[in-house]
Amino acid sequence: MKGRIIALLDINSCYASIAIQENPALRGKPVAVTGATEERCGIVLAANREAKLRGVKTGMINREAKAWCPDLVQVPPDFYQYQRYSSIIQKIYERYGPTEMFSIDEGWIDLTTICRDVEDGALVCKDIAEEVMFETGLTISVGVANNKVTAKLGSEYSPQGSKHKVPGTITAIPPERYEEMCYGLKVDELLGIGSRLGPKMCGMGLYTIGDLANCNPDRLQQKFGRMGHILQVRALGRDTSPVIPGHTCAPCIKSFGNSTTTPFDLCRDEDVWAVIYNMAEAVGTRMRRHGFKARLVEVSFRHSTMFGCSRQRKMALATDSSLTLAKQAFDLLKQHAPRDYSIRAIGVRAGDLQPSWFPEQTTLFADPMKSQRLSDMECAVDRIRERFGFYSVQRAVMMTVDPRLVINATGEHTVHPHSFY
Amino acid sequence: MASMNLIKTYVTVLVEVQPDGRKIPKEIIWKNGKRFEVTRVFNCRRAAAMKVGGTGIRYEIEINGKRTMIWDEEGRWFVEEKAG
Repeated sequence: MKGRIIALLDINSCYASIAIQENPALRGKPVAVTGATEERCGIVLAANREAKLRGVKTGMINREAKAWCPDLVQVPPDFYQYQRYSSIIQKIYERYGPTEMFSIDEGWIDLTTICRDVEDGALVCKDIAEEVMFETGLTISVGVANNKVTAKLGSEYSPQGSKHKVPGTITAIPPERYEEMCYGLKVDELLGIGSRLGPKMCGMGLYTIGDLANCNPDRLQQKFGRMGHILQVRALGRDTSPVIPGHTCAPCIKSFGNSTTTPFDLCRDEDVWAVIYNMAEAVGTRMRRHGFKARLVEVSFRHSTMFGCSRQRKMALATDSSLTLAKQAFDLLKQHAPRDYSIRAIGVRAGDLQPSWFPEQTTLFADPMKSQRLSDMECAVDRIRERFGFYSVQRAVMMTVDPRLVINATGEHTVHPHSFY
Repeated sequence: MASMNLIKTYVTVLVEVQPDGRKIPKEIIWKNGKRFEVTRVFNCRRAAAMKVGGTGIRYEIEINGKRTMIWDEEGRWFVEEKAG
């Protein structure tokens, strides 16, 4: 019986490639899309192949990238263009089959109804790649297999063991060759295993996808719970998750978060409180707009030494109040930050969401009337800002700190690619 | 943006919009005010402008008996202008 035929198509060096397509004079030069050094967001967001071959890596700070590649051309990000090109390319994919965009530059297509087998799928993907090149000027790498996870492995496959995959490669992984092609890959190349799970897997002696596939399921269950089983199924090449048509870069919401790099290092509680409150306001506004409350608050911060950490707390009652989120986040930060802190970046996230209307058992010590008044006040502020602008009404604390710390985080936030779940 | 003596130049275009939403460029008004009538539209499809950059719906058209191209980039129209 014919199995599924799924392709994962990945725009090569997406941000950098789009910058080059918009400005062909950059073609052939080492190019990196970077944040602004003067705003202390100066890291490499994406680099083209020429820059990568010279040692430039995503996440590097600008100074280091320039040291590796002195003639590096740095261009600012343009998220409007990235979303525009992504939409254009998604429409191309949809001509061939149900399409699910995993992120702004990656998408799955279900080719089962139009292809005989995985190799035939690779031929169809060659046509798709040519159309993408003709209509956008961008190259894509493709993996074709009988499931989404293996297809993604294929899109990143480098058979020669090269660190940098060749742009425009199309790799078919038929089921009968899955073990031969994939069991030797590093375990952290499997979808869902990254910088946190990877070391834990290695700590258990699981260094390759094959090791994970052959591991005793009970060991995995004990260590990782239900996730262990899911990851082993993927490692065995048996993922059954469907391609969900119409899924875009903004799927069902699992959390709301805002973060910022501050214009100067923060050493005073008053400044940290103002920034946390600023971020919590944005998180609260977005939650209320979408009709959610959260039971979990997380604060993340990065010290001026680049040390960073995040801490979470579960709340007794779900909330959409910016003030409540801010107080919880500030308390967490004070508990876990070094005593003489010097902070350069702060983030606030609200998770474990539930609909606002969801009935909830209150606690003996809760004051529902006070909570309601707070909620009404914050909703009123939201409405005033929608009509007259973000800066038309401000918390008093924002008037007592450096104005550079107060930003319209709701209006300027950027949604980054979501996780697989 | 330039390549091989070509630069991306945005132009004024008189466009006829059909009831079904199709757009037909009818006249190009150059920056010096000169008007060029579009006598034929051969085809249109989305295409990247590899020489001058960008992507849009590319119209292959005829002006003064010569075949040339113009792009509709989300409502702004551009051509490949010879530099110099």
